[in-house]
Amino acid sequence: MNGFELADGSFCVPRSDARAGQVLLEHASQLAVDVSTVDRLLYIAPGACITVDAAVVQAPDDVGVMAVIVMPRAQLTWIAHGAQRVAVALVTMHWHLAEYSHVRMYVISQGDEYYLMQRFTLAQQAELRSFYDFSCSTIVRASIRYVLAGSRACVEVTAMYRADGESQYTIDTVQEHSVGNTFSCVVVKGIGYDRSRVAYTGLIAVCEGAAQTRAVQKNYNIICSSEASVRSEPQLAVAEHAVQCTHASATGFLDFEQLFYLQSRGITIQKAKDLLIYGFFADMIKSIENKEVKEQVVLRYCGDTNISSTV
Amino acid sequence: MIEKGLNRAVVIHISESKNEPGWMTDFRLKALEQFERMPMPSWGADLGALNINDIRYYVHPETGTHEQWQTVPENIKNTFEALGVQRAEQRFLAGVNAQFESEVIYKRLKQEWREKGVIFIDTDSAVKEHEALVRKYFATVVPPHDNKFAALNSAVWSGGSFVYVPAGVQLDQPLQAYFRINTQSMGQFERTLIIADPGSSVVYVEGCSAPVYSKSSLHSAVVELVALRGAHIRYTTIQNWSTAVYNLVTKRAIAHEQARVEWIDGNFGSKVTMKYPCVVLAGRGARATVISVAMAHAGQHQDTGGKAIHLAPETHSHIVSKSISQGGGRASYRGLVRVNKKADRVHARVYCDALLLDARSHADAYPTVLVENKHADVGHEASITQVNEEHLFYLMSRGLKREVARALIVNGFIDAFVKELPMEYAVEINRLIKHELEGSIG
Repeated sequence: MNGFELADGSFCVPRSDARAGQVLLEHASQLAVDVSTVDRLLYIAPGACITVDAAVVQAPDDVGVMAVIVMPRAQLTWIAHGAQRVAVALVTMHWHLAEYSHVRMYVISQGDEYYLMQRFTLAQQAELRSFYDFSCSTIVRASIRYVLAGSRACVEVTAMYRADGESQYTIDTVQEHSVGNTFSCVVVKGIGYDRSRVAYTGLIAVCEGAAQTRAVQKNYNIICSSEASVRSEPQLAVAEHAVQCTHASATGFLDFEQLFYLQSRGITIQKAKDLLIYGFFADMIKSIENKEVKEQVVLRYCGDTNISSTV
Repeated sequence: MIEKGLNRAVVIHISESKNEPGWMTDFRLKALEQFERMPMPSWGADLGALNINDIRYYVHPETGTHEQWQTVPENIKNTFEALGVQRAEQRFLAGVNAQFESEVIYKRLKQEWREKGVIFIDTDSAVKEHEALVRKYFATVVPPHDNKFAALNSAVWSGGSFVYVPAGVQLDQPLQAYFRINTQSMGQFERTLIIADPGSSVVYVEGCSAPVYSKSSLHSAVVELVALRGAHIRYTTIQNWSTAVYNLVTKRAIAHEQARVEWIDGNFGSKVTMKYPCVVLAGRGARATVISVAMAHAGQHQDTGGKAIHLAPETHSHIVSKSISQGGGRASYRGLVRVNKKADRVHARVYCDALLLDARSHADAYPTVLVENKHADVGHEASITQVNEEHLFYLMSRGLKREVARALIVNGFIDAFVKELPMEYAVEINRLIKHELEGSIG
C-alpha cells in the first residue's frame, strides 16, 4: 500500500519514505520496538484532530509492523471495523502517544484467525480509550501492553467477546505503570457458547517509585454451554506502596430466576436471554460513541438493535 | 548424626533406623528417584540460594519419645516450656505432639479421647502400630510425583502427626503439634496424615519455630487430610520459623460428600515460604474454607495462597488471603479455583488483599480461575493498598499514637484470620502484630 496524506499535516507512509525515517529516528526511544523492523508509519501531527479508518491505511492481509506516533495535543479516532474478510489477519502495532494527546480506538477482530499485538507508550497526560470486540474471529490471540510512562497518563480499555462453535480466544493484557500519578482500567467481558475456549491473562505491574498509581482490572465471563471453558488469570505485581490496585474476576451463568421472571412477563426465552446478555454488556455498549460500531456490536451480541427499548 | 547430602544410603539409613516395613522403604526409594528426576520449580519464590546438598536430612535427637514432660531431657523440655506448649496442653488441648529435629519427642492424648478410639501419635509409630490404616491413605492425597518437594519429603520424611477420628466422634478440644528445628543447616520433613471418619470432627493446630542461624535450614512437610462423608477437619497453622528457614510445604485435603475442610494458615516467619493449602472437593455438597495471612519483612518472601478444586456438584469454596509487606519484604498470593465439567452448581469465592506498609516492599497476586461448567458461580477479587491516611488521622484524633493506630488498622485488616483462631492464639497473634510493627513507622 502506498503513502497517504491525511488532514492537518498527518500522513501514513512506508518506511522507505524519507519522512518515516526521520520521524522514527526522532522517536526511536519512545517506541518499544527496534525501529528498523517497522514497515509502515502513521504520523499524527501536533494538534491534529482526525479520524482514521484502519482499512484505508493498512490492507487486511498486510502482516507488516506499523508504528503510530501521535504528536502532542493531537486527537485521533482509530477505527478498525474488521469489515474486510481474510483467512488470517496479523496486526502488529507500536504506538506512542505524546504529551496531552488523545486516542479513541475501536478494534473489531477480522479474519477467521486474528493475531493482534499492540504496544502503547503514553507520555504525560496522554489519554487512550480503547474498545475491542473479538467476536468476528474463530481464533484470537491478542497481546496488548500499555506502558504509562508519563505522569497523569490515562488508559481505559473495554474488551468484549462472544465465543461460539470451536472458538479459541487467548487475550493477554499488561498495564505497566512505570511512573506515578497514572490511571489504567481494563475491563474484559465475554460470553462462551458451544465448545469455545477462552483464556484471559491480565497483569497490573506497578514499578518502584510509581506512587499514586490507580489501576483496575476486571474480567467477567458468562458460560452458556457445558462444553465451554474459561480460564481467567488476573495478576498484580506491585513494587510501590502508595497505590490503589484492584482486580476482580467472576464467571457465572444466566440467572434462572431472572429468565423465569422475564418469561412470566410474556417474553420468549430467546428474547429473555438476549435481554440478560444486553444487560451484562450494557455499560460497555453504552460507552461506545461511534454509532456504526455500536449497532454492529448490539446486533452481534443481542440479535436486535432495538433491544434496549424492548422493556 | 548423618552427614549432609542426599543419596540412597541416607534414605535407607532413615528407613532402617525406624525399623520400617519393606513397602515404606521401597516407597522412599522410588520417591528419591522422582525427586532426582524433577527440576526445581521455575516459578514462585527464588530458591537459588537453597543448597540441597548442604542440608542434613535426618537429625535424631538424643532421646526417645515420651508421654510425660518430666522424663523429657531438660534442655528440650525448657525449649517447649518457653514456647508455652505445656501450659496450653494443660489448659485447653486434647493432645500434644512435639517434634524436635527429625523425631517426635513427646506425644500425649487425653484418656477420654483414647477411650473413644481417637488415635493421635507420630506418623513413624503409626506405620508400625496402624499399618493397614496408614497404607490405605498414605500418599493418596499428595503422591510423591506431585511436586519436587513432595517427592523429597516422601523420600526422607520423619515424624509428623497421625490422627484418626472414628465415625461420629466430635473432638471438641484441639489437638496440637509443635515443630522445632534447633540444628543449623538441617531439614525437617514431617509427614502428617489426618483421617476423619464419617460424621466426625477434629481441630488440629500446629506451630513451628527455629532459632536464627546464618546458614539456611529447610522445612518441607507434606500434610494430607481425608474428610470422609459429613466429617469436619479444621487445620490451623501458625508458622513462625526464623528467617534462615526455607518453608516449602505441600498441604492438601480431600473432602468427600457433605464434608467440610478448613485451612487456617498464618505465615509470619521463614526466609521463603511456598505454601498453597488445597482442598479437592470430591463429594457432593462438600465445603472448603482457606483463610491465610502472610507477613513479609526484610529479606522474606511469603509466596502463599489457596486452591480449591471442584470435582463434584453443589460444592462450595471460600478463600480469603491477607498479606502485609514491610521493610522490603515481599508477599505473593498464588491460588487456583478449578471447576470441572461435572461439578454443577458450584459456588466459589476468592478474596485477596495486600497491605504495603512502606515504599521498599512488594506485593503480588497471581490467581487462576478455570471454569468448565456452565452452572458455576465463581468470583475473585483482589486489592493492593497502603494504610489509609484518613483512618490513621481519625484514630489519632481520638488520642491514639500513630504506631498504635497503625497496629490497630493492621489487626483489623487480618481480623478474618484472627477470629478463626482459638482465643489463646488470637491474643498472641495480636501481640505479635504489634511487636512486628514496632519501629516500622516510616
